[in-house]
Amino acid sequence: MDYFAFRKTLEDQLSKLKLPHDCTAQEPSWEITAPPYFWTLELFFNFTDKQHIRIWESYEKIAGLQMSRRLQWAYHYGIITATDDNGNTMQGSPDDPFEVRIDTCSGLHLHYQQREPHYDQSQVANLGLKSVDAFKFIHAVFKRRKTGQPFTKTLGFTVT
Amino acid sequence: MPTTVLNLTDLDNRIRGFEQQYAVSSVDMLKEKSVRDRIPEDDILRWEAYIYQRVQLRDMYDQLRGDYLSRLPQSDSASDDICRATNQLDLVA
Repeated sequence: MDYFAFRKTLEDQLSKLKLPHDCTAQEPSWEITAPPYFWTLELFFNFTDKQHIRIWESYEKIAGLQMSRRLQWAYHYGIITATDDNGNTMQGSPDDPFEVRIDTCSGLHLHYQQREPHYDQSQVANLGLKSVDAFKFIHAVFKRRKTGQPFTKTLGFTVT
Repeated sequence: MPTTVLNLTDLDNRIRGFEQQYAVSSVDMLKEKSVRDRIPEDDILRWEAYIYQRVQLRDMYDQLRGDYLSRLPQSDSASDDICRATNQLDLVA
């Protein structure tokens, strides 16, 4: 998928996303190179109880093709600790408390309820971490908040 | 929607910004675990993305320039001399 197709698809998905009544979505933030073979995307969903979802993804061009793929990503759900002058949520500090986080820094891994340990795929059962995309993560958070079920249920994983 | 278009200079500036913020080179950030351990994961991810994009963009620009130069017609030395003489006359004028 190229940048233009990706962006259109994402905007369609966002427009169809049913937000809980206590949730607002910030405008997506895009950084693209010229020509647009590489881009990063950042999304924030803010809840009235000061929790937030942060989605960050980086896409790279596939060699020899006019297409790109997800290269690095970070999906985060936790408390809001940083805002800009307009009140928009910003990336917080690494010490901020959170419930769940999946990212690819130094290899794909999961954090659950605390910063350490980093659970890599060999320590996570019943869930392929790579199969979790932005919308799967967002829906898992919505379900967690609606039902009170832990992420081990809404994402369906066990850590060892 | 906020959209920022980055060229090579922008990528250079952002990479330099991270290097100054953490007082380490990009090479050390990529190689040294002790360095990476003290940098937030989100910043490492952004930093690495900028480095990767810069490498890829440079390669693309180099390839584009090479393709362009390979398509230029070869000039002989006689016509080069004429062009050079013409240019010098233009400068004097």
